[in-house]
Amino acid sequence: MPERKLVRAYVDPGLCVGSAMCVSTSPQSFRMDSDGHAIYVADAVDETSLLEAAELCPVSAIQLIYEE
Amino acid sequence: MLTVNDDLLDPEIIQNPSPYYKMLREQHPCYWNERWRGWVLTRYEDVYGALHSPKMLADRITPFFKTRLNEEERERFALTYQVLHSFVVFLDPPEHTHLRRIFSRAFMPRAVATMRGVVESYVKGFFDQWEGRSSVDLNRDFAYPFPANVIASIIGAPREDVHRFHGWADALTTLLLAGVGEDQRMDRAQNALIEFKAYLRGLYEERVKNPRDDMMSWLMEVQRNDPTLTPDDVLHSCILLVNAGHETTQDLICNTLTTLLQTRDQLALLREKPQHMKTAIEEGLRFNGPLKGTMRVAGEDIVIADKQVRSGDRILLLMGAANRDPAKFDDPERFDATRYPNLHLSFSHGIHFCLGAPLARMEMEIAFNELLRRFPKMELTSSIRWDPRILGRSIVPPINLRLD
Repeated sequence: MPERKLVRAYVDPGLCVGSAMCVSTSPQSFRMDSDGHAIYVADAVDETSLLEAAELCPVSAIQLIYEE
Repeated sequence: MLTVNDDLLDPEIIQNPSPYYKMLREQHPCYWNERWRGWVLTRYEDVYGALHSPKMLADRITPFFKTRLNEEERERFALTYQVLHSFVVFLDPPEHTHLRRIFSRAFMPRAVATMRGVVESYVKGFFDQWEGRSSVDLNRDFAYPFPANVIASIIGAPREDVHRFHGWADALTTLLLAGVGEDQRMDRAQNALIEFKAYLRGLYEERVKNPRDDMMSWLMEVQRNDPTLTPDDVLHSCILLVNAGHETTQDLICNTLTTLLQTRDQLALLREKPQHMKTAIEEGLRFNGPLKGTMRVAGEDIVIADKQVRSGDRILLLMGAANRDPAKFDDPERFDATRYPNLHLSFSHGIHFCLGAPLARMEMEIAFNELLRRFPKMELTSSIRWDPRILGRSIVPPINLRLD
């Protein structure tokens, strides 16, 4: 089975508690918005750090979106 | 002009804080409490904003030692300072970021899921002992020993040592959560820290020789690759984990179950539809969370709700009041087991969001499902008396339940 390609991440604002763990894990992919929530901002996918950020999120708010 | 009661430990406020919180939210959202000598925030928006603000410092230990103690005391309590100052909860970036990342790995949701079996077997073991009894003390017979056993298993301490943790954790909690009527609380806390640290050092040295599958061994592994993590960091962090994972979960169990037992329609709903357990636990956190408040120190001059807060001022963030702010929650004085979304602040928010939240949520869910299923006739027979604390919200034991 071919590996699916990771295309981006999405931070669920209803779950995010603003721990900023994703920003410190993958600063090129996430930043905090003015309400204290993280948002995904990257153009290029850095797969290793995205997987790590999703795993370290204390409330599992990061969804990884794969190509269909 | 209404005069505001400055006594945060006023018996009436302790027993029922809601009317006081409502008055503060509506009339004095950023209020200088002369007796406590700090600002008090009560609106959701302001508490949330402060928890997320980089201008609000979490290190309230250094100012306390610098301004409230004299030189002789500072010297006498140097060890207490050293330990507390290394707790991730009292650190600010950039030191905070590094230590938090290390512990995040240990408590990330996937790691916590591997502890499910351990938690389930403790829950079953405790409730097996309830079978056939007509009454129990919720606190003594479950809520007190259960989280302590879980956290001991996680760090790798033998079960027969758990009773020693209780005394140490209790002494530290009295210091940190502002217990009253205890002149000796600094001495008691320091003695506990000395004993606790010596105990953990013994465990640490044993693990150096015989590593196992526990957090102490895992932290040593981290240390091998990260020279900035000192053995003291490991020991101090284990003290924090025992403390943080102990009383807060104990109080969460007691506060939530007693609230449910006094809200019969919601209890009946949960018995009939246990699929609402997750939202019911969140509602327990919102309604009577184990921490009413937390503290910050202003890192610079800042205006909050039209008041000028000066750099160095201390600020009490009352999550308990924010959690009942009608601007954020519909019908906030009602316990609604199905409330969703429920963006309460009981685990804090922002960079200090509770590391143990996934563990606490799992402990609660397993325990409450088992409790409600196995003891359908359970009734509360004690009257609820809240312990006078500024930051904590805890019921004075015993909490007697009739089971048959």
